[in-house]
Amino acid sequence: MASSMRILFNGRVLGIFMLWLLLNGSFSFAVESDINCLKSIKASLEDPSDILSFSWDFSNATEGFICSFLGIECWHPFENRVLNIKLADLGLKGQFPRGVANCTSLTGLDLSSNNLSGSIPVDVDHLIPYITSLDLSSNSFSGQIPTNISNCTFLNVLKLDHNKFSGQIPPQLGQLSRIKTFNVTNNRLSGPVPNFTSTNNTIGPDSYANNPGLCGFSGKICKKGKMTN
Amino acid sequence: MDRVISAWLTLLLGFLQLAKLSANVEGDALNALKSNLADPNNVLQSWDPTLVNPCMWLHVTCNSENSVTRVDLGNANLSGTLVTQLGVLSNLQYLELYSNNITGTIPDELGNLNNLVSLDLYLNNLNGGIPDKLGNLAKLRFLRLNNNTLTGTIPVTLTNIGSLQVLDLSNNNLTGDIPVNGSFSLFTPISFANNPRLKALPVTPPPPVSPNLFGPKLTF
Repeated sequence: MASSMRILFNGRVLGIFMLWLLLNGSFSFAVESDINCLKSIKASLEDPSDILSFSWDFSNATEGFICSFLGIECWHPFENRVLNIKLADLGLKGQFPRGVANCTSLTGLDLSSNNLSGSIPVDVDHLIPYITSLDLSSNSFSGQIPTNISNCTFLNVLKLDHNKFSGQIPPQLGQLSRIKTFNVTNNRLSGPVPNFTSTNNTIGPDSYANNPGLCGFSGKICKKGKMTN
Repeated sequence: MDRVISAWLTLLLGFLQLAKLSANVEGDALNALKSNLADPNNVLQSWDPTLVNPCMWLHVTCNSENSVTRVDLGNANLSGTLVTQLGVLSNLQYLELYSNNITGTIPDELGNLNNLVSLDLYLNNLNGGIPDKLGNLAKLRFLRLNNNTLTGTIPVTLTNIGSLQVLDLSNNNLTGDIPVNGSFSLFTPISFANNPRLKALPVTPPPPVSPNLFGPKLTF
């Protein structure tokens, strides 16, 4: 009886010890999603000038170490939680980095003036649901502007100008209630422009210039049933 | 000529006296704070009120006119309460008191700090409401009051602060509506998370992961 109780006791102690180990192990190896977010971005982008390679050093992981990375602004100085990513004008190549989805507290993304290409993911609203400022201008992005951007309800600034976007601007973008700045100039967009219902926005003809096929502004009447490129 | 010289001398001495006085006012204010705080790590040991101004005190930064611009006491194991005298630090730009064990309320007088750029009181045990007068902080860029036990509503006056860039009121016990106008157009549910009685902002679609700030992350 005594020996079997001893075995039971040892078993429980072992169990508790293993639970403790598991909890501690999880804490120390805890998946810090924002670190993975930046690792993924770095891995998915070509960095010809090695600027990211130099600054984004993951080898000495202390609390808040990513906050001193080039282009990274954190919510709080000593906590690895990314507020804004600003990587303009770094010669970066590649596609829209889906890894940003792991920066779950991201509100600002500026990838402007690089050599990025491909299309904006159609599920962009799941990748950056809290985005307030998205600047992809002056790249080589192509394809359609995804309708789901209209689900990014907190967007204040959306700059897609100077790219190769084609097709129609999703009319649903007009429902973005907080949008203040919208710029799609210098693309290959066509069709009618959205009807923006937000107040205090600066959206006007200057938002649409140099898209030969765009209509519904500045006296450019949309011809029924005709989509020009 | 004599009269002119003595007039200028009086003016000069008067100015010097005034300068000394105002510097003392700031030192007195910080000394009042020190008196209200328990300081087991002795971070305030250098805070000597007999000095002519607090500019040589550790964790205090002054400008070229010996007026306090920064108080850096984050993560210093301090407890106790804040003091209304903090409101006299008219050139204060950074008030960093985060990650301590400070209790009590946020003084209304902090609303007098016209030059304040950063107000970091996060990760403490502050209670009471967010003072409406904080809306007067016209240069405020960072307002981080998260992880306290603040109650009451979010002052609409805060929406008037055009310079506000980072707002974190998460992990408190705030109630009522979340303003969406003015500067608050920039702020998302992240800024207000984990306030169970706050009326949530609509998000379409539901976010992929609800950030559990400062809580353990278990992975398997």
